Amino acid sequence: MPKEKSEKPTEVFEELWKTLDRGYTYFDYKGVRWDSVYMLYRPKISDTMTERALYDTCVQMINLLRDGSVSLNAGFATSFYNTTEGYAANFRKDLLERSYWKGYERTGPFMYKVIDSVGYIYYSSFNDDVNDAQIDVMIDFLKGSGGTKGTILDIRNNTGGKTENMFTMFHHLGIDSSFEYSIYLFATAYKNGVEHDAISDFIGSYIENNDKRKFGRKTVVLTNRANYGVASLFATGAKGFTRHRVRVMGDTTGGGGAIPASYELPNGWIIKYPTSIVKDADGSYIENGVAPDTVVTMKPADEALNKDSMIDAALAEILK
Amino acid sequence: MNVFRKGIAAVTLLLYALPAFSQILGDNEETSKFGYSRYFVFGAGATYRSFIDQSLSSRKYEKAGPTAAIANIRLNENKYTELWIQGSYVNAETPNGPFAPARIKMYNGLIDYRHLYKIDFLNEMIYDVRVGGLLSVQYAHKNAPHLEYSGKVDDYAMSIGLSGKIAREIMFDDLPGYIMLDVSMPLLSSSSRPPYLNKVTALETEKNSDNGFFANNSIGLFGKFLRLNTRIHFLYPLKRTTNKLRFTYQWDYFKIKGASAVYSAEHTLMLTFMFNY
Repeated sequence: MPKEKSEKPTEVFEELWKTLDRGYTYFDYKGVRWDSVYMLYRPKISDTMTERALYDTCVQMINLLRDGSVSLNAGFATSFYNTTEGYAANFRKDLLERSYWKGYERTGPFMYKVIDSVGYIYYSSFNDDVNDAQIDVMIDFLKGSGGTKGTILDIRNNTGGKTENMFTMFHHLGIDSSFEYSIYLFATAYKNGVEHDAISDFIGSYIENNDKRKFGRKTVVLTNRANYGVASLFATGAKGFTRHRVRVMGDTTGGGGAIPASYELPNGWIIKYPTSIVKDADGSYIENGVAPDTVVTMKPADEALNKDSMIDAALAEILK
Repeated sequence: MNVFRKGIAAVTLLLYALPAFSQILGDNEETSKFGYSRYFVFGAGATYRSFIDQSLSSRKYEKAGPTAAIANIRLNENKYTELWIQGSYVNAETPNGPFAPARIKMYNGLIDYRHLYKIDFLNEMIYDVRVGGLLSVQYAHKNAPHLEYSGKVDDYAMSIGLSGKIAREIMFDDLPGYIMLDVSMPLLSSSSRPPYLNKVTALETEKNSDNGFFANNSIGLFGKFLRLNTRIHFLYPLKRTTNKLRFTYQWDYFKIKGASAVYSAEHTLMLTFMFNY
């Protein structure tokens, strides 16, 4: 049995730096010289420093990666890099509750209602489990209540969650079709060695034609900067359904989407970081966000009238 | 230096395994038509396991947990075979300061088959020594829920190696009991550890042969998979029957190397009933 590493700050720092050095996938993409980062931060670490000081220094270091999917959990605090800073929120819950969500139905994690013969669905977190039966109930209700023209799938402020829920949702996107089809969602490559450029080949992910009930004749997916991880990945995949009358509207997502790994440091802290790379159908990295098909943002003039410019634009898109 | 250390370890382990021993048949035991005395063995006990799984953490996790085993033993004057199947579970933990301890659930399964022959070694009137081969399969599943996405780890090893045992008779009220020591050690193995960084393939929609259970399988010697299994048994004869009770202490150490290594040591105390049939 090898000797356990000590909990000394110097050893914890070394392990943290080494873990990211061997596993993080975006050094080159982000132009971060990790060796230089070590030279900058190693002198700041001493075995006499407090736990809090060590945490703060480590967080400063990992935030140089400018990556919302890198976080350090020290038990007393968990770091995260805020990718929404400096960007418009493009989401006003108070306004939605006042003007759009009144009288909504709820099935599982979904809030839904019909607005002007269009189904409107709000899904707040991919951590909340969804299943086909819930979606079928929702589709039946919306279509039976006059929401026959199409569907707005609002995932703004959805910060991601489980991939299983994302794939369940993908199976209900698009239009009913008896033709064979295969929709390319995105491609993933994995870190497979200690060198920074040790990356596997990309492996594509697809949705084949299926007999699941579809959201509607037209579907608009609404996004904003607060869509991270799996939510951002959902936006990427939804853009592949263009021929199936699905459009992504709103603001560029917050990014992420590569499935992270977690590793426990010698003092029990946990570092979480992406160990894979995801590309969209165009071959672009989605790490820094997914641009919508149509950019729509909230207009202050509309907000003053209790209107959500993004929902109104989605309604116009479906009803045109 | 590394090769030298491996060589020393190999020779030491070989010497350790060679003096193998076995017990002598009792007078009134049920035997098969081929003259074998046969036992069906079932038992349970407690195990204390500590491990470092470097795909999850650089920290040592340890805890006691339950274990159970069944076995089939056949022996005669010259031959001894044992099929041993054991399962164990520990909810191992490591201290975590003022916060709740971090925990890893570990499920372990083991199948050992020992096939031994009597050899002329030491004083045959006192000791019964047998030596032979070991076929072994072991599998472990770990789940560390606090390590999001990459907290599940599977590893296994299939191996062939040496095994031996020594037995000495002890009388309990004119009934023969035994004290035994056996040692087993694999030589050649086919083993598997998780891929680099225990990659999570949740985004893949199609089956990929690179992700299968056997995808990371590799064949090697001690450097790849090292295991040393030592057991001390006390066989206690039950009156008016040819069945026996067996108290066993087992120490089992193994190391599997791959993209990351795992080191595990286990102390087990077990009480088994040996049904002679």
